[in-house]
Amino acid sequence: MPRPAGWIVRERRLSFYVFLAPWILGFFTFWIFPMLWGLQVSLTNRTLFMVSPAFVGLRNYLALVGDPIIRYSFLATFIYSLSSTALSLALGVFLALLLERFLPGRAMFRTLFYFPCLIPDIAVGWIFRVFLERDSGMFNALLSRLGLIQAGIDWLTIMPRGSLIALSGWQAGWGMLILLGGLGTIPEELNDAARIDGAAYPQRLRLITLPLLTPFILFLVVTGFITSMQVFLLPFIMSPFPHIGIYLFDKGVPRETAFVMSRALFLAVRDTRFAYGLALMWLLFMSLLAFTVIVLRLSRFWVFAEAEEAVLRSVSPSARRRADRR
Amino acid sequence: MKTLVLLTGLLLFGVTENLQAVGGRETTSPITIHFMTQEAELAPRFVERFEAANPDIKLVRLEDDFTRLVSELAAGSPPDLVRLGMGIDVAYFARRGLLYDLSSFFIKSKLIRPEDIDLLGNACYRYDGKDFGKGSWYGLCKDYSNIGCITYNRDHFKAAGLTDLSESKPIAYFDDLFHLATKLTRKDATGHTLVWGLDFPDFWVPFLVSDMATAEGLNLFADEDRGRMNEDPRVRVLWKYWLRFSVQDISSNIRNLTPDWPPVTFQSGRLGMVQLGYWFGAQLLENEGYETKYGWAPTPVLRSGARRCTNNLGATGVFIAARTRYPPQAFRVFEWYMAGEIAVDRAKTGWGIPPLLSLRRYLPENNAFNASRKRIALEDARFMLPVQSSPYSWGGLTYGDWNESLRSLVEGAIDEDAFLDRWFKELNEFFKRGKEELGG
Repeated sequence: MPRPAGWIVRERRLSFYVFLAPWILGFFTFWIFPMLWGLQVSLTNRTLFMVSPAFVGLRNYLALVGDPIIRYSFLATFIYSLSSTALSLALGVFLALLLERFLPGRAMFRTLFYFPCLIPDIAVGWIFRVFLERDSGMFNALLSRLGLIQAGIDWLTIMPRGSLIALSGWQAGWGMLILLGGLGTIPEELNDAARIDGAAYPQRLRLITLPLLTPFILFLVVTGFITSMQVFLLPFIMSPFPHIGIYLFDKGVPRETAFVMSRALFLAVRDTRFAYGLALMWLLFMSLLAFTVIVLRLSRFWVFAEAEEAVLRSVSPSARRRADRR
Repeated sequence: MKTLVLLTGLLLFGVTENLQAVGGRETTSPITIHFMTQEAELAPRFVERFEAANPDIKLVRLEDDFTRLVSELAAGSPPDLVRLGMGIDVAYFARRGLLYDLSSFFIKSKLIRPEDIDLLGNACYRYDGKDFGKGSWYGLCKDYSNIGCITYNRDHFKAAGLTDLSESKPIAYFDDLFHLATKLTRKDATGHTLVWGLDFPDFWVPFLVSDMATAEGLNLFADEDRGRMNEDPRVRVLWKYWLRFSVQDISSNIRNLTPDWPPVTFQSGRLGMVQLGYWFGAQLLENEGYETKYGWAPTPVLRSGARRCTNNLGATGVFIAARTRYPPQAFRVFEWYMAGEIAVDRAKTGWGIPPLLSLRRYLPENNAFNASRKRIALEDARFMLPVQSSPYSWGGLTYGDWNESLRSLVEGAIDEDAFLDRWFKELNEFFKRGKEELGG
């Protein structure tokens, strides 16, 4: 006897939720619950070993806004995030455009350029640290060989943030990969038509390729900026101070790379100002939320909507339906 | 019905577990004792031997992780035994009720006899709520060192035209040390330092200043409660003394960083002198020609003829957490660790002066180098004094900002007085928060 169609639908729904349940459970247990708990603690005066913390409302948040060290930390993180996102995006666009063309060994180069993204941050940090080292680093050796410097320069000390920004170029392969995907969505007819009309490559790039890539660039800007604002490990690895357990904890990192996440750790654990540290984390979260909303709102002025729809159609059936209705 | 059965089962399980915990009673299965420490200090072979001799205890080593420790202490579920980097933190933790009072166990112990405890070396592990060296015992050091003692490179001394230092007569900080370090410092034509005259870990400074203040009869704190820094100009002079090493590039600083931390930089031949202590001798055994290349000198005195005193950072040791579920079993591990086979083995390595007087005989003196450092260490140990520290902050609390202010000083953005004003202000704020934490 055939089963009724409603049963199938119900079973599909049930199995959908059953299969999804472990992730949902983990998401609520390890993300949502600790975040809400952190929010609640950030509204108290709790220190690590305080017996009876009291509710203080927004006092920690107001203190953070008035704290010049925290303000500087946000500024330092913002400068780093903006620069590193711009650098990795520019490199990503350049590499994608380069490899989109039919060059010999294109597949090999794609793999090679993406390969660094597979290396963990900790290894990348150490590679760059050794590379930029004053006395034995390859970078100084190269500059010296070219006759550009007389004595070794301590890059990690004189340019701690610049060194970190330079390192972000390492991750350009990720942007390249996304943008190569984006380039694949641009109809070849558009370029052909432009060619027939006599448009040279720079014109086609400016009027066709880049506008149609804007949805992908938007994605890379938002995700890249959010990731950079939360960078934690790399400033420690690239710190010019010796890497000996307690030393790193005590000395921390130079002020230029004392980003928000490391400040939060120092406040919450080293200084035992638990509530204050958690308030800082929430402030960062809210700033990122605000940034994302602003960028998405502003995107209507520079993101090519038709291309955005094409992307949405390809990834989301509901978006496809919405676009069809329009 | 099923739910009821399940809940009853869980309830019974919980009650049984709690009864065991409260009573600490003997159980048939081994009790697990967690010990947070480094593997080098609790090697698996010793754990196996301990478990073989104590079948009722399963000893589990947890990786030494400060952040984890702080979180677990705050959550009320710390490991049973914990390695403590610096004994001065006993005051901080004891005032917060986080340490188990071991005094009653010490009285009954057959392995740790009161007359055998090195009272000067272990002073920071005894605390009465106000002063070290009095009141309850909260642990013992695993071993300790005279941190002000000097190790120097004879080749650099010779190159600078200096004679070897005396092993018995201490030099003076103000009359000799700065002068020697200046002469030992060598730079290349571009101003990069090739050899630094003297270096020490940054967080040593408050400990060295504490010795200097004690020798001068001064207090680092302005009040009895140790909740405010002393602004007395005579005390400020002592702090300023150490700043000059960085400003004048005699010691490592942000403008002229050493390639590694002081012990390693010294081993690589780029330091004239270091103040590290007895333990460093064990590390130097790795270096070829160590017997003739390196010399030892006792902790300097403040000025010629001044009172001798040194400290050990409170020493690295072990405490039992107040929230341990099995105090007697945890103490058995503690006793074994401090006075058993593993303690003898530790003493034989020569990495530190042992916590018990009876173990000193095991310290190595198989050659002139080891004999010399042992002789100097045990002589310095006679002048060991507790560090002047506040119970409102822990040892590692302040130095991040010390470092940032030091950078401003080295870069010429502020002067020494502005440095001290800034730093004292930060410390006073820390202390204020520490008092609030204790409900003060």
